[in-house]
Amino acid sequence: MSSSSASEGGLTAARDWAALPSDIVLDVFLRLGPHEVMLGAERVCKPWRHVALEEPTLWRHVGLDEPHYTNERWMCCPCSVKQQMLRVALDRAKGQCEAFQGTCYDSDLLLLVIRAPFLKSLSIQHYGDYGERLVKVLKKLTLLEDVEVYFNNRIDWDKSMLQSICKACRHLKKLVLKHASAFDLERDEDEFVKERVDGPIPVMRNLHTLKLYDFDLSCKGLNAILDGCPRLETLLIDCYFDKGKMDKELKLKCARVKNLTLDTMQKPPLRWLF
Amino acid sequence: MEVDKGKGEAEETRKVAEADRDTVTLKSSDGKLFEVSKEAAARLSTVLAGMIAGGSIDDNGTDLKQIGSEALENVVDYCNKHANSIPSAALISSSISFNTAPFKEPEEWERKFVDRLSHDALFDLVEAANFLGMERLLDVTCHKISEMMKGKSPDQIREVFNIKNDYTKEELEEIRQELAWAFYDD
Repeated sequence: MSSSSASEGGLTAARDWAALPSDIVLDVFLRLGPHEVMLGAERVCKPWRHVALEEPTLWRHVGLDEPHYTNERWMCCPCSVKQQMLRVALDRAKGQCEAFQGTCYDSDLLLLVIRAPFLKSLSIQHYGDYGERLVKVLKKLTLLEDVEVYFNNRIDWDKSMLQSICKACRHLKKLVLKHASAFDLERDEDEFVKERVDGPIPVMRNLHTLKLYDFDLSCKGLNAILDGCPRLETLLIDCYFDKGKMDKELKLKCARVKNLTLDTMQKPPLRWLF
Repeated sequence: MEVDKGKGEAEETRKVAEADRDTVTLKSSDGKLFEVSKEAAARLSTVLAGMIAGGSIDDNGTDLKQIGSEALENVVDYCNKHANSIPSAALISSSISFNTAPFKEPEEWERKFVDRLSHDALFDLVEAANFLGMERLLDVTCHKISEMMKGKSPDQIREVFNIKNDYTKEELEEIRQELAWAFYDD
């Protein structure tokens, strides 16, 4: 026999979508993602808004700056609005946010430390504040496994972001660092002084993926990366790097990395550097 | 194995023992009988799987009092189509988005299956899928519903689903204060 209780039976008039069971609304909202929900769905009716407010799982992954997201309403959204949305999303996550992606200023970073202590994945677009503070924050997010930072300009960093970030997050599995000229099409390729990677990095036992864009990498630096990351499976280098200077030993070490991409460029003549 | 297509005509009660049959008979809230592949039903619905395993399947039509005949016909149709379809490799891939959980994308035939439904039929089907614990069918129907909302403002969504704005002026003002940002383009 049927396991259910009293029958409602029969067909009724047009269905009441506002009365859709909340687990279905949640399922739909999870597919829409935070910005769609905030800009549209959650304000449709009270029961739907209730789901947005009361289901922290909805805010477990908050990505506010996806490059391929082309919702017109979102594209017209001013930066200040996006920042507010980030705050609200983190509040609603009730500490359960595990992954964040978006534009971040230092104040937002502090918010992440307080509101998202269990963050595993952090992807920061256009970071332009003080590198030192970024490192401090990363150090406090002890569960981080996956970090991606796009530096939007010559930030006031402590010379070596790669080394500092490795030091702060020893358990990372994936690290992607991109300096401005790698993605900023409006700027001259060689306008910036590249971050030089020439010395040892801390041992990163769990790191399986490392991608570096627009650094100034020496053979010594590459050697140190390969020595420091015994589990490395994917290595992408899109930097100033002179392949011609690689010796046999370094080539052998490189060959052990399963997915290796060495997209290198020549250093420009000295007059470009200041 | 050939599988009956449940077309919704009332079936004669069979004298064959339930355990020997490769279909089960389901009865909608309005008393219509549908036959569905037992294998597909058990694979696609946790509730039906439990009933089959627990022997609570009725030869004369297992009562599903929560589900109307139109929705049940769609459920049965979906199960039988699923039993006949060869799952493609694309099934494993998911929409690549940072924001959304890795859901499985519907297959082409599943897309068409829900695209032809009226709004009412879609509503009934998603409720039936939920009631019967049909994860895959929920995937397909919820995907469709989310597609209908994408990129739309609250007013546009209300229009699509014919939902009344149930906020009072005071409540709206309250939200506006909390989420002033979200009203920037209203």
